[in-house]
Amino acid sequence: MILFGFIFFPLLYIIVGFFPFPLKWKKVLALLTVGGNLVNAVNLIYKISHVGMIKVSPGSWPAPFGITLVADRMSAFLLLITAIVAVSIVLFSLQSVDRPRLERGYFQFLFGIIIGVNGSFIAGDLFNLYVWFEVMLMASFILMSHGGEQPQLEGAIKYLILNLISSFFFVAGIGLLYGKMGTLNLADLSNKISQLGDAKVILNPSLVLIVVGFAIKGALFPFFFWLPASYHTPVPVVSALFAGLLTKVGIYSLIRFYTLILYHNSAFWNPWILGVGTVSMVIGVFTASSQFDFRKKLSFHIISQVGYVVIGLGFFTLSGLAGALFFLGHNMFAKTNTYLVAGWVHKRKGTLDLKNLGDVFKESPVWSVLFIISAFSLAGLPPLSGFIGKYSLIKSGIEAHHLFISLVALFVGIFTLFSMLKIWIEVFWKPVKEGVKSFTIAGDERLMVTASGILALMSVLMGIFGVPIIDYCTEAAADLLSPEKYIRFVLNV
Amino acid sequence: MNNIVLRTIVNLISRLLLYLSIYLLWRGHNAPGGGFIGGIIAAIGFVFYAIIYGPGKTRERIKLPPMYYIGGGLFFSALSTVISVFTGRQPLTGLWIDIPLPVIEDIHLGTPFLFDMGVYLVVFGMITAIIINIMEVLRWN
Amino acid sequence: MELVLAIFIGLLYACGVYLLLRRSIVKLILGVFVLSNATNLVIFLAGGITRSGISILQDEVVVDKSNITDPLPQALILTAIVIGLGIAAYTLALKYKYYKVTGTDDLDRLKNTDQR
Repeated sequence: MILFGFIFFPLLYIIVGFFPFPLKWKKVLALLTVGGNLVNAVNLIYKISHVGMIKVSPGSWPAPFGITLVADRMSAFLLLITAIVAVSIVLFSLQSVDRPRLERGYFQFLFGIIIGVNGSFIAGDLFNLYVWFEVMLMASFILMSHGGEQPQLEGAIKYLILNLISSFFFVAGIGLLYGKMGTLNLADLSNKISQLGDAKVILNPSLVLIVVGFAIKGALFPFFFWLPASYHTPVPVVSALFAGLLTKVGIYSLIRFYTLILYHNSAFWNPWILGVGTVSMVIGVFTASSQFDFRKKLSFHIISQVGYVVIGLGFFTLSGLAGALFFLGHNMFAKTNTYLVAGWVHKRKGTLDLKNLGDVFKESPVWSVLFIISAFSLAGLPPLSGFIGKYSLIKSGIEAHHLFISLVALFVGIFTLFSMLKIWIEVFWKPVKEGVKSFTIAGDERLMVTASGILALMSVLMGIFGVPIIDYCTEAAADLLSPEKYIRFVLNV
Repeated sequence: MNNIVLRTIVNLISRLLLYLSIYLLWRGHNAPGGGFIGGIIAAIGFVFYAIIYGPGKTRERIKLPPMYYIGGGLFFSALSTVISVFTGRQPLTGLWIDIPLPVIEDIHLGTPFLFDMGVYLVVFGMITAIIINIMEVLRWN
Repeated sequence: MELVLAIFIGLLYACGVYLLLRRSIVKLILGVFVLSNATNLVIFLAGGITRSGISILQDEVVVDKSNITDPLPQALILTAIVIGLGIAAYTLALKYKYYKVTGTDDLDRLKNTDQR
């Protein structure tokens, strides 16, 4: 019943949140809930490393007829990372979110997002995946507009409309696919498609609709416009949560979908995946370097880093997929932490405009170090986690004879470093410009430092223990590359 | 709206719709009906009531704040999913008991009914919450 | 029947996209509702339209087992409708709040969070 716990624990908090308990209890309960989720995730990854796969069939309905929740090595890895990110997000929220927001159900919606993300990682059924997407999106819509300030509302409208359109693409694709195949269970679909032979061309329209839905959710080129227009508007810790988790769910779904369904027709899909990944990398990093807002710069980098994961999927080799998975995990830590530091700067200085900031290093060396760890990790400097991720991706690219794409990835890495150094110099290093009023809002920030410290520590640990983690990711990639195992496990044949 | 005919009729209709909704909830397992539809019909009765009597009176009439209904409903649904876990089955598995009654037919009661009841309460709470809040914001009556 | 429904879905999509491209936020939101209904109809159509008996088999009812409507698409549509209900309530509340804060209904004024 471990898998069911990932949905059940956050749901318990949501239930309690509807009743008027004192705020102090709710805060403690929120911490307990994420703690329980973390324990559950550690337990799962321990079991998975022995067993390989775990499934639950709610309602005792056997696989192709009922919904199945399945976790394999990739799901367990991402669930663990989600749980760690959730712990630090809750810790950070306790001190950085203002009291009216906390009283108006902030944590309920936060746990709504966590349910949605957890559910998407263990869904074994396409429609179930859609439902978890919607759970996640509903909660994220509300968190984005929570508080009702003007930029938030503007950002929320753009985010809302484009994500709804992606849902329509996704559902229409699901409907058409069901009409043709008569099943929505991913394992059963994969099994049936492999028996189709040349007739599988008729599936392409519905598959294109579904992939476009994933691509909008995952902010891939050319569907990324909603992300930089909205991610910098909500409360800083909320944008950290979104940046860390939401787009990654779209990419996870793309990986799962590609390795189970699209690979049957890889001659058609592979060039598209590789091209889209490469262009996303380049576009993201170039547009980022022209920004002058802390969070906007980071938002564009999300697009660029999502591109890295997608090219790893496009190589479709063992080391490529392992690198993509490692990079996905590393990026969830590093990206969330850079946003958390941005949140701290915003709380402390009241602005995020790079031109008006400066001298933060003198004020707080601790936060500067926390930022530089994550930023250098994003840029891919050794011995941090990003180095190992990029190294294995580029190495596998060269091995798979995609020399041009590997070169582009290296080039993009240099530009990422440039952007991160620019933030470092503008925010932490340079003296404040004359004529700009600089002020400091002091306050208790021990929990905030802890939250950010956990994530920075994870970046360092993923770098130091890179070899065992890469080994684990390689096993996960081996599972992904031989879907027969997954199919046999889910369908019990 | 201060119209004696409307007031009496709405009072009657909201009661009738409530009973109808409970009937629909009860027959919903295999026949048309169920928690979602029942909840909507119950809420519609109170929406009529709110249109005529205003949001304040409606709040009094439904006794608890709508949020409690949503929380309670979620609690019942969540409870029904884990009951089967405690008996060593997969979550959400339906467990049934037959309660023999002398005159009328036996009552066939199970966890799906508990789940449906939760859905009923959530839908009822959600729709009344939306309508009452909108009316209060727009200063209806 | 399938042809009529297919043409109708096409029309709904066209209306939805047209409304999405208007400048007013209210029309944008109406466009979203129309698109969501069109998508539900796509699932309905893709599930196959057949006249047949009930799909839940009970002991005392005799049904021609070769001719049963697939109940799953309808369950999917019901789920999608429920989600649509929640989204509709949220969207309208968002629109109301936005109008209160800014006093405008014009999408072209939403440029503050984009590129400067």
